[in-house]
Amino acid sequence: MTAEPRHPAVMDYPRRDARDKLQGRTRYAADLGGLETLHAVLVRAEVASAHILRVDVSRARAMPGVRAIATAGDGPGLHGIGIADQPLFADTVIRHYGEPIAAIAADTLAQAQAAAREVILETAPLPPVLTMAEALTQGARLIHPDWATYEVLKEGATRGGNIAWEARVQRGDTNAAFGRSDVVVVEGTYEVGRQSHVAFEPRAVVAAFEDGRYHIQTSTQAPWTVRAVTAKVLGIAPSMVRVTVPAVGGGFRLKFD
Amino acid sequence: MPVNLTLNGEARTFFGDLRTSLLDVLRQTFRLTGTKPVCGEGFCGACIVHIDGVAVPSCLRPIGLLEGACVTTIEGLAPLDAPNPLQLAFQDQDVVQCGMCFPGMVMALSKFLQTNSTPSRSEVKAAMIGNICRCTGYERIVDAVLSLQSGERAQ
Repeated sequence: MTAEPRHPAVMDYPRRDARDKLQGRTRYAADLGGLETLHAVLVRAEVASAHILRVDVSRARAMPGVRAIATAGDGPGLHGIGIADQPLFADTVIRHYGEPIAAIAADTLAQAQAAAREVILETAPLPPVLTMAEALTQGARLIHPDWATYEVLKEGATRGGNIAWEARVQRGDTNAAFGRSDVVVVEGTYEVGRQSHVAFEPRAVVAAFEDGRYHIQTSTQAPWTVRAVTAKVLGIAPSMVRVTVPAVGGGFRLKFD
Repeated sequence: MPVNLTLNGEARTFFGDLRTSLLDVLRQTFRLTGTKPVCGEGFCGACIVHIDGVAVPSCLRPIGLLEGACVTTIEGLAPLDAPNPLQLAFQDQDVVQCGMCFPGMVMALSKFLQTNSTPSRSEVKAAMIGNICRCTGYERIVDAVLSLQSGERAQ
């Protein structure tokens, strides 16, 4: 065999999908659902930390167009990356602002949003732990008092208390480099706000039970995770869940979990 | 009360809530999903269409105000087998990334080029002020627009 290629490799092939995108033919996830598709909204926590005293969806369920409402009882268990520490819906405790409380499916988005306003959520405040520094102080309130019993999905990390997963990066001999006479060490602490990409296409998913299995069409960068977690939540084999990814309208790592 | 309008050259009628935005009518009633819903507030440009020859965000136009209007969407801008020169320039110069902004970008800039076929670089940028590209592909978009003319003013 000769190692010499007959033709140089060409790396600038045109994008296969460019023409459709320029003509408005590309179907992103949110373009898939026609009139037959129900629309869902999440009811989210509006406080950072609280005990949940009561979730009452009966009034919301009776609103026009509402087809189903799911709450913690419909999706039990804990899930996550590395450590299974996240419920699908908050059950007895709200652990972060925006934590999902319920999901409402209705004929139209407006109907689902109207029903969301009728969900009754009674809470009793718990002191929040809002920063990493605060969470790491001696005696800080534990966000997950039962952390030790949580399932470890990926072994090997240091964990405990308010530390779910500690990872360290060690490359080269930093002390030796900093000790050199020609190196000036400048130290400082810089704080930036939390960053979140705003992809043009937000999170979107169209799900159906068809041909004897679940079909999830979603804008994601991690379809295998979607499949695995969906199967676990539903208590079924992963082979019962088919995940397909239409054109993604911007991911930027945001859609990796 | 039905609303009669011309949509991509065809007479169409809408029956329903007159407050519905043209964007929702296009996508939900007529299933023309090339017009993209992103901000819903007129800032992002993803839903720009031509109404009576003017490029406007369709999310801000209630259908009830469009009786007799002539609406062109990205699907009706040019025949599938004969894209307009702007679409071809974007395709040939590998400008497209995620693609969500391009229906609006094409609708806004194709109308702009009808009024100013030899724009300067800064004029192209000014014409794009209502179109966001979250992949931040702006410079390549500007380059492609400028490539449609001889290079004299293209700086």
